[in-house]
Amino acid sequence: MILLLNAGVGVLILSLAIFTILARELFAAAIGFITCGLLLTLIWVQLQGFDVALIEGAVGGGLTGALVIGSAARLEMVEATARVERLGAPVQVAAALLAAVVAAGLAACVFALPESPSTLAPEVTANIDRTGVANPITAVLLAFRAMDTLLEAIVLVFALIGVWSLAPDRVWGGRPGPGWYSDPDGILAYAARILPPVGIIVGIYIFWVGADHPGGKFQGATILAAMWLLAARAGLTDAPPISRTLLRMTLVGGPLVFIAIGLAGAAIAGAFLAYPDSYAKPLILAIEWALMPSLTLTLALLLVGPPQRPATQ
Amino acid sequence: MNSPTIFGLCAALLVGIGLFGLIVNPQPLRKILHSI
Repeated sequence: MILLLNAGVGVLILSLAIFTILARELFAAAIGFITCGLLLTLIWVQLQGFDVALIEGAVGGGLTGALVIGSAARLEMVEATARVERLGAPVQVAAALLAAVVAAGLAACVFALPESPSTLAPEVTANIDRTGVANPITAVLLAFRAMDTLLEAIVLVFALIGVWSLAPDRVWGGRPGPGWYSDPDGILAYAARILPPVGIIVGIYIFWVGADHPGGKFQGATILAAMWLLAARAGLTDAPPISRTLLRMTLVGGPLVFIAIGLAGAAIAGAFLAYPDSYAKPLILAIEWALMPSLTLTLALLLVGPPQRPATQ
Repeated sequence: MNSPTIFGLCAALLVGIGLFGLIVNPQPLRKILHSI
């Protein structure tokens, strides 16, 4: 029965993907993409990957969906031109053949996978007590593979700098985004007043339980960023100027604390990002607490885009 | 056939569908890059 339901979800997501590709309007395609992301979340839950499901729902369906809708809105002006530029039938057939070959190759790889794949899960289970956290995903991300997480946090800051660098010289240091306004009595402003208090609690809860249960800073930060974005889109708040020192310190504060703890590990525990046994959990929590505001700000500002207005506006 | 295999096959097909869409309808991506 479960197998049948899973096959049904598979057929549904494939149908949605085809709809997304064939949709004549960009907005419809964007909605199809977001729905695909939500269905992917269900699939990860079915595969027992709860942490991945949370991040897929928050980032894959949520923040990326907002980004795609924003892009669709920007492209509305050129949509008519884009329709005229569709490729001819021979090229479409060739593209379909190429896509079919790639899909068939990947499908063959799926069938070639071993029945019982090699896994490091037993090693994680054997050593998780030394980290002090109960969630194996958190133990992997912040202890056994902490270097990857550190680099992810740094890459996000560099991505934001890359987005900011697209700003024209005259507004460098100014406020990101166009400065949204909405009807104070409209449904958007209403939702932006009602949802953030709930969303903030959910975001902090998901962050808080991350040490022992599925959740963590990335998922929590994404929800907090979405709540801020909702309030900003409704015109209830505005993005700070990127020249603001406090903003910049918050953005780099998380990665800097992470690096400092890593260097302290090199001096005290003998390796970069190694934790002394009895201090592992407090240090992991310190990194999580430091990264949370940095990630929230980075994700929110990545969505808002480069500065478009002077700081005084 | 188990659930991971079903979803693995779905993922393979999704990659194919995405690749097809990117080739036959590259205008949105091109316009985004152009507008930057």
